[in-house]
Amino acid sequence: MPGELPPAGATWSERRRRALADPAMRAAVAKSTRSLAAKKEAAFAAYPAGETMRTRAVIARRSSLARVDALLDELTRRVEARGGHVSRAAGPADVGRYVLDVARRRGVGRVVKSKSMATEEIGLNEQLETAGLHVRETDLGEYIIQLAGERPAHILVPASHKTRQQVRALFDEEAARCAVDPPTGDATPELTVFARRQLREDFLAADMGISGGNFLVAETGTLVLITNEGNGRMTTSLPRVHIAVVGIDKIVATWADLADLLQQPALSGTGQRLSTYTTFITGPRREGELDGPEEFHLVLLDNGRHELLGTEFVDILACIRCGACLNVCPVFRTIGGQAYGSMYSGPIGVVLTPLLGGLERAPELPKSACALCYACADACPMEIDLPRHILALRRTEVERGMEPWSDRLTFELWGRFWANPAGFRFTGRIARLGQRVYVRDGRLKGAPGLVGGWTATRNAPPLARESFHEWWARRRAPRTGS
Amino acid sequence: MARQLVRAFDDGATDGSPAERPPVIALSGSCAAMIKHEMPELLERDALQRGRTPATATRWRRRAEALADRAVELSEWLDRQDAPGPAGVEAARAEPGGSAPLKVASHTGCHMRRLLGVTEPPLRVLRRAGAEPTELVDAEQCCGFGGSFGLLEPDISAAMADAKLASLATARRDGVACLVSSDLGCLMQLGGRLDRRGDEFPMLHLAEAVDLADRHRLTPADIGRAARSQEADPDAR
Amino acid sequence: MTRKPSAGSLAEASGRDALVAEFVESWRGLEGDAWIVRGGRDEVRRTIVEAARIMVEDGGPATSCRVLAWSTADLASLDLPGLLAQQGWEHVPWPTGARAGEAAAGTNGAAAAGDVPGAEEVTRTQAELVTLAAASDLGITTCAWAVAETGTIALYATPATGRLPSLLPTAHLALVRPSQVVRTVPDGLRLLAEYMAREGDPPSAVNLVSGPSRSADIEGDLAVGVHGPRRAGVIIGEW
Repeated sequence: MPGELPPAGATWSERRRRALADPAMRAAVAKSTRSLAAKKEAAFAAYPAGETMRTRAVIARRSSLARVDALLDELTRRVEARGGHVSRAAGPADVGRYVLDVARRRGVGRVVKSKSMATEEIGLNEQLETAGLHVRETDLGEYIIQLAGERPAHILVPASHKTRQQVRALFDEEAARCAVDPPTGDATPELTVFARRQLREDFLAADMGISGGNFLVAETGTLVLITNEGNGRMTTSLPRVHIAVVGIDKIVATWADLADLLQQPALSGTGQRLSTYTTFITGPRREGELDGPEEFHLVLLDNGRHELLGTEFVDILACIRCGACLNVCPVFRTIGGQAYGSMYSGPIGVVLTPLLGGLERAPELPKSACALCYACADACPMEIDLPRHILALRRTEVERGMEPWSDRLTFELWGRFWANPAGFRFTGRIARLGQRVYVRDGRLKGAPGLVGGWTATRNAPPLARESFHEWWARRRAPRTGS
Repeated sequence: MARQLVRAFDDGATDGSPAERPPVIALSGSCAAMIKHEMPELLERDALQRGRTPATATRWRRRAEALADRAVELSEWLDRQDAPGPAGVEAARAEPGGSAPLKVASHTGCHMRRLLGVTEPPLRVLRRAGAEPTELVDAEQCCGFGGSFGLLEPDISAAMADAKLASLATARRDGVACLVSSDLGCLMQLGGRLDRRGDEFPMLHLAEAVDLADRHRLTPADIGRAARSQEADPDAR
Repeated sequence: MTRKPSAGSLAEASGRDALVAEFVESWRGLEGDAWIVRGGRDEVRRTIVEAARIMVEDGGPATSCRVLAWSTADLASLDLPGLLAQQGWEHVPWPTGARAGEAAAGTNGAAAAGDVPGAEEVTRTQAELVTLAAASDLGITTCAWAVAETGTIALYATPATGRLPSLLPTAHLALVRPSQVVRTVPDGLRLLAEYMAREGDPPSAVNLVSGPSRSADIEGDLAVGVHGPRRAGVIIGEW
């Protein structure tokens, strides 16, 4: 079954315009991507063991993806044996229904959330807030964009497009709303202290914690959470109910597989050898324990993933959400994450968004958000062939007739004429004549149709007076019979 | 177009190693990458889509592979020939008769860098030409040409070119005499954007730089002349 | 020791020293505090006080300090209650065994003659524990194992070894024995696998902690102590 993603919110043309017209955002994105890419490189250079584990992890991920259904069954049995609950969710509504059901039964009013791409994908916050629950994002970056009412700008550092002055302004507003002291300044420690204080109150008052999950280990029914801030631990230790919403693609078979995978998101994402807090959760608290949730629920999300198994796109499910592809992508660096109109941005977003949400949801991404430079293929620690998938999606769009008829006609004619020497020479002669109207000061400043895209922002040299073949024919005697 | 190219170079030989047949030199990194990496699969798939038999499709793949085996990008080929020769070293000086080597900026296109894995040969060729090549800051970031992307997304493409030109501005402040690249698409992109912005700076294809070096003319003055001439007249030698 | 160490265990000892040194270097590189103690129990006790003063008050006298500590058998010989009482600091022990069961059941009977000499007598409810933990200055725990390559300590959640002491107080101090330090994360996971085989069950939670809490969400600038402890310290020694 295909999945569902929240709508893009604005047209591609508008998103692009806004992005290109925001120099502060672009500078912030350039700075953070450059820094994270450099950290990844430095981390691997200093740690050969990391690379050894990575190559094994690639194999482990592929082999898990070949056995997803069996592994999910094993996982379910083990979680339930430990007193946890497992539910399969086909799409967004199923997750919402399940969570609200649990919330009603347990008298939940306040929810804290730690970062989860899966819950953003299904618009869970909106569903819960509509039903009257108070939902607080506790990841510092997600907290900032929740206050701003925006979508994340980057998979790992969602508020990386915001300056500290902008963050301070948001915190000042929130302080006024809650009638508490605002931050004392905009230095990082001052802003952090404010967030820590505010969010701690939310943690201590919450009835339910909702998290995502980085991996699931079938062997013991264990959820793996990778965070740096501690909000993942708070969310899954303090409230009496914990619900984890995790994509089915996160499953691995054994602890041996996990051992190779565990350090990869940190190494490729932020250049750390291990994230600050790596947590393994197996069911709710045991008898006699005084902390930890009383109830543990695991919601396994499909939302279009299952359909990709066994197809040419299956390796996209090996993604560990590290953001390495975002950090090297020149288009991402130029337009930032929000321009993609999806919580999955950058190269992975260009492929995942249409695959999960349907090509009609984001037809512009494969052809307009990618220059096919192959930097992402080099950077991906799970060796996902993103450029190949992007080309395949472009091909599908052509096959489905999704491009403008004028573009289609241009490429069609272009191909036909240049498929033989006579046609090539003919178009050359026509173009040499036709260009005169566009040539000024010895350069080409305009052009018709598709080629006008070039001259919209760049000049070009005019076509030469004669082509190489004509020059060659004129100047050199023919090789035979001379 | 790909089928035509394969036909044009198909000399019908089905035996003998590629090393025994004349190489097919590609003057652009992305063209070489297309021939070596994309064409075999493209032509096989295309044949099947046009309703040809699997045997025919495989034949197209083999013909494309034969061409791919012979194809070599220019800088790689020049590097193998140890070209340019000793003449170049004396030629490329910052000042005529001076002793400091000519500083040039070098840009390697994405397909050459990542699909062909060719990054050192252009630098070696330029050094043998007597120049001192340096890569730009953020060298591995795409210049924005991208093929159809450059036509469909003029604003994003231009913004990417501007970022590359900003790196070039740093190199210009460091005193480089020109930008040299083995990729015509990149040169058109960066040259065309610079020109639209009302600025001027010499940009040469590697072949032009090597040609000047061979003629003892890899100097700032000659580089400027070569870059400015829109209609390079090969008869002017 | 009444006999000379053999060459084999000397080599072991220097290998052990190298691992401990690597662990400390990794931990400090993550903005964690570390103390290596060679003098045994008494010196460990003195170092606990020193570490507490540094982490809670940057070296100040720390006249008032609330400490939430595990009170497992492993920690018994350190007499934490006595040590903290000497400083005039408030000691909140994490309930163990029977008392833990009572607290979980909500009963509030008098404490049994405990396995921890001089322990606080009050049995606390869950809610009280959370409130006290959130208002504690320091949490003290041991750990299951530590990883040299990554600067990591592993904490298993069991009734006697709760999650909160390493999570809510402003600072967290872990006591580590040199023999607990392994080289790599997979080495540590093998120890976890052995535990799971022995107990038949993984712990309800295992937390791998690598230094104090951090974030780079504001302009990519490193922020320490976002939600978890602002300072994380380790004392490596024998007691």
